[in-house]
Amino acid sequence: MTSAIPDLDATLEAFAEAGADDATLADYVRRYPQFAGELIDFAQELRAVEADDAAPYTPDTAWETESWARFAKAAGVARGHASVADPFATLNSARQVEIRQTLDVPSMVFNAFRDRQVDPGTVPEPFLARFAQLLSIASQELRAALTAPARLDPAMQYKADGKPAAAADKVAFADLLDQAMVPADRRAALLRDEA
Amino acid sequence: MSPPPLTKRTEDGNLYRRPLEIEGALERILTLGREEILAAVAGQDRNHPDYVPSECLLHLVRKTASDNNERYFERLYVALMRRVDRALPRAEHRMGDNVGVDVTRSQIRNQVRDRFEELLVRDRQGGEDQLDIFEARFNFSLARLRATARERAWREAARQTPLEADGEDGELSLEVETAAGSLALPNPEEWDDPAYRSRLDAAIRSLPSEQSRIIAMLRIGMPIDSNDPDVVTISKLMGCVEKTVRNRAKKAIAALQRALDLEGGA
Repeated sequence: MTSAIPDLDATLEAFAEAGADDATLADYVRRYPQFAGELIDFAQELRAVEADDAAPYTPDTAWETESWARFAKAAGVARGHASVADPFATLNSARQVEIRQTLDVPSMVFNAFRDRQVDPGTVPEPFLARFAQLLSIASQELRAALTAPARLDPAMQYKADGKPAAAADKVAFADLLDQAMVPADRRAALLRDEA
Repeated sequence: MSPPPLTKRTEDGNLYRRPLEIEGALERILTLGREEILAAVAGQDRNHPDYVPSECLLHLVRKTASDNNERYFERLYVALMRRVDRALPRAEHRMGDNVGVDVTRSQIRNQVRDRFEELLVRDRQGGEDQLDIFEARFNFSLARLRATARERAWREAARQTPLEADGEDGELSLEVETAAGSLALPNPEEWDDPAYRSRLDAAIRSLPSEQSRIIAMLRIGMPIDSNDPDVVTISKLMGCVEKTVRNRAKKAIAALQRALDLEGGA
């Protein structure tokens, strides 16, 4: 306890650190009477956590399943194609920029991968492996994720009345580099497996 | 591989830190592959050398948010929620041959489940560091959630329970104080028995809120009343007169005795 006026959190933490037994509780209640009620209730619950944790337990699998479903929906956990997870689902924009810059490719190229618009069979393995490494997954996982149907960026703003449809056909990696106007020397390096 | 430091700060400005044993366990776990991690976190025996502390399991869940693999994440999530659930009060309880459902325990359990789930969602959505304290002290943090939930459940129960007269029987005060005091004084033959102590703790927690608190205070030797204004007393903390405290204590002790006799099969 370093501050002159102890706060409740710090007092409870120090109490737990000191062992939280009856003697410690009596000492803390005497020293911090302003938190006596909280100390007494917390001491009971801390002891109860340990006791319940050690007691026989049958997992409530129905609740676990419901909890996961609620969490996945609320937290926006991506539902990828079949059992393939979306490796881009939780990347924030800063991390997306970081990965794009590390790969030294234009946004259009990064976005095409993110939106699964690239034909994975046309992407040289070294580039794919490097991309996958930055996503903290194996290159096979990224390749599998790219086989899922293309999608549009859910954050994209639409000015037209109708929402545009994702391209039905995937684009070849070389064509994507052309569309993104990647300089010739960089394009050649990416396609020569020198990503 | 060193785990990244926590970012939440304590009131005095210091970063929350994981205890050394948690840091060590985490470093070891982070060298494992995903299948090995999933096998390790499924272990429930806290005494097993490969047991993954809940602080570490929570770290894995939070870390996996940034390298998303849904199936892997789901399995970690379920393992973590199972740890939380296991440390919550069981709603069903046995009293002799009867099995009942304790409404207050059920409320506490549901409230903590929901609150923890909410904290995970907010953490996953980014920008929150409220789970840092759980990564440093899991059971401590869970106990705080339980205490908050219990207070709420007790308030709810109090609203639905008619007020009871506390009686006028002041002559039993000495008997009550003696009996309550015996709860606080170790009886080497029974008190050192963890099973007995655990049953007593559970029985105390099952009492109505005021009675539970009074017994907890008597156990640590807090006086019911005092002429010294600087002494912390049960009367002061409970905001009631000495006689009321004594009568509530009497009822509590009688209820405890019944509960322990029933559970002990007497």
